[in-house]
Amino acid sequence: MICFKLSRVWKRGCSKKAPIMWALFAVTALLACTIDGQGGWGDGPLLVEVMGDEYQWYVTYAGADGELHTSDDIVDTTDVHVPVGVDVQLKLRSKDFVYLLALPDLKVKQIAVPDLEFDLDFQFDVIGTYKLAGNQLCGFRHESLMGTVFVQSKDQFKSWLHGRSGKSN
Amino acid sequence: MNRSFLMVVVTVGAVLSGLSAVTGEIRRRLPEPAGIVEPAWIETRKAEQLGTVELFKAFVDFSFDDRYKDSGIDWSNHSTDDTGKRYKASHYDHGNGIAVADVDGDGRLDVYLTTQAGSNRLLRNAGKGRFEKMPGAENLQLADVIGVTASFADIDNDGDSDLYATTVRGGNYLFENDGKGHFRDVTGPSGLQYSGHSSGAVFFDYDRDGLLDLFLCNVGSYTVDGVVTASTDPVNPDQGTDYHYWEARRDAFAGHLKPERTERSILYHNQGGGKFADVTTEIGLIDTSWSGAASPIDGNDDGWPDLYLLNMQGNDEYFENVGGEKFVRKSRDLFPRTPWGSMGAKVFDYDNDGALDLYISDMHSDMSEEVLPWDEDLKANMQYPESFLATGGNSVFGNAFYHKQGVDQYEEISDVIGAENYWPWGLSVGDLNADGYEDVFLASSMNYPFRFAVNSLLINNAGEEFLDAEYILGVEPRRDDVTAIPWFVLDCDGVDAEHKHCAEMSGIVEVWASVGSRSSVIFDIDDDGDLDILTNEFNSEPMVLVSDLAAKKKIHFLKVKLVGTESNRSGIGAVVEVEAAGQRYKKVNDGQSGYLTQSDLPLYFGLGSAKSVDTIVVTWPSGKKQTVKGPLDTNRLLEITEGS
Repeated sequence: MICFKLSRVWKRGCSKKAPIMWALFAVTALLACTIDGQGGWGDGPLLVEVMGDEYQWYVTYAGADGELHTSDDIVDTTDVHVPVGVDVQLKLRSKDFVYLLALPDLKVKQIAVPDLEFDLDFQFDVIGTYKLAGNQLCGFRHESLMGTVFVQSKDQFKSWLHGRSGKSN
Repeated sequence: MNRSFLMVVVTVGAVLSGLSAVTGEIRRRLPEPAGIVEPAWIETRKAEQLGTVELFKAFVDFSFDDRYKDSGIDWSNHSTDDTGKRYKASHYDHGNGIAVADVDGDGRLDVYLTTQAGSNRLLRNAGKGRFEKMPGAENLQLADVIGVTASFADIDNDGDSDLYATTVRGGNYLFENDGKGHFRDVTGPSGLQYSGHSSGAVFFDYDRDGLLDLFLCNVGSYTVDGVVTASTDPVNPDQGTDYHYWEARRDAFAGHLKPERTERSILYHNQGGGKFADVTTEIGLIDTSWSGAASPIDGNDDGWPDLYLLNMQGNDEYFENVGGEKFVRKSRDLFPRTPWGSMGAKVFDYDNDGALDLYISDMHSDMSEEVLPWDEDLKANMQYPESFLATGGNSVFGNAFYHKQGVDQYEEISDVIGAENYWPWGLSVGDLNADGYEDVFLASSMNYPFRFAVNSLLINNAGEEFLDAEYILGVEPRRDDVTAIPWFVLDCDGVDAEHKHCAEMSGIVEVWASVGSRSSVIFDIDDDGDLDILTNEFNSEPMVLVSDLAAKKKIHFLKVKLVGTESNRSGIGAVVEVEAAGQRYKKVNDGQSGYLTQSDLPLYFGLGSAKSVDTIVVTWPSGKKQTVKGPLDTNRLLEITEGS
């Protein structure tokens, strides 16, 4: 909501210096939308990368810098944690085979293919645990690709994320 | 199913299936997946189908008997290790074709079987259902390359069938026949030595100049540059011969999403003198589908052969031939929705209405989820997202049967007439009960690491529908009731300790896998007047399914061999209409005999109760119409020469 209002003000304009000032302010505010000062996520959309590798999902959340693929990434395996009522943007990738990831409760699915990236956007509106179904396309059944989506309150999620900082599986 | 439960299933499967002693060592047997040895559903399926006999208007009181052991065909197909011990989901799964022609001019139809590992083999038909190695055909073995398939076609109009064989990155081969079954390698001068991921080779005369041109289907790059060395006998490696193959990509099945892996198919124009020229671009037949097969078809009935191009991972394509000068893509105009994973095709008139229909088999759609045995006649419940399908919602998830309604008009009726089945590769079409209606054999089933599925034999019920008859007619169960065979062996205490199957196993483990067919040809193997079926099995020995129809019933048929003069010598592309006892039968002589292959066969007309033929009308590729007036005796081979 803050981001939306800022964009409206920017369009009206205030002075000749206003664009620069507003741009700086907007960047700061945008960061505030997606990053909190401790764990890595504020209240905006949650960006998560899920990578298939040797029949295992590797789940990466942005660390304090709010960016993926940096040293403070928070990496987990198999399961995905998300806050309730928040848009989740899953970036699906693979290091080896072709995988399929499905969230049966939401009736959504997406593939993971080496060298390509596919998006899976979703939102859970009720706290709980949900099935994450993984599969290798045209291959064996791999139980290691079956996981759980933990949908938590925003505070619980932030706490979980913070607790994961500096750890990796 | 959780991991611990899976472990129990695997372990119990291994124990229940027992131990086997081979070459003096104790081997533990591991069926993969569990339950493929003597599947519980087989007897139920068989009993249910036998209970449907009352539904048949068509004659089904005859049977097929697999005479492989008495056939003299001492040969086995061998698949690469990437379909077994080093399994990857790749296009090596697609196996090999089988082509038929009378190569030595003795009047009997000979057979060329292809394999990935090991040697292709040309077999001489010795009569009475017996085959023997063709003398002097060692140069056709191609043991140093990974074979895919082959086609017979008379490329030089000298009256014999020449041979074109395709491979995986080993270069393709053209052999010229001397008419006595001796073949000379003429690949180099022909210009047909393309090396890539080739598949079906379709010979047709697109410009109707009297010479057979070639449309070479190329799949796409599904291998990497790494070379693997393996034994042709992965069950007893010491007893096999080492061979080399290009390793499959681990993400081969997503190749259609990666434009850089495209290998476009090629249209070669026959220039005469044994030379061919790539005219793909100038003729406008540019296509990047992952295509293993294609079929000529005359959608607009203008006499110029159009082309239906099968895409095994996406929308099929249709190209209209404009006067032999160019091809124009009209895919969605004629076929708004096509099978997502097309494998085989055949153009034929299933209801004798005088219009040539089109049957497409779809295997890849059946891969997206495990299908229970009693759901096999349903379209696939597609689990792949559109991002993977990439067809814009235009897909049929299973076989398609396009019933021709008129010029450029087809209606998809596969579910109405019972044309759906499970895991089909290609199809062969022939009038197996000689009643005047074309029947269909669908070579089916996957192998390691999937469950067994039956071959489908669809009997045409008086042009109204197809009825499953593989158990009724003895095509199933397969030879010795086999549904699974040893596939490879693992030393779980040694070099294979890290293999997936060794996680819960120790010692020497013999992994078993489902049997499955790939290609087939319907022809009169034993020259007794009825049609038989020969298959090329994946990683196993062929089936020689010999019919006893002629012994069970007085049948009436006519075999028609065409000899072109102005047209290409074997009359490829000719349409033949036979009228007998008030019934008209129409067939196109396209040579499309089964999965990935083209054969040089006479047309077989089952005539029901008709004891003579009234007239035959041949529309030659040259455009000339020729009428042969009757009455003509039946139960023989009739040769029709253009213009005679």
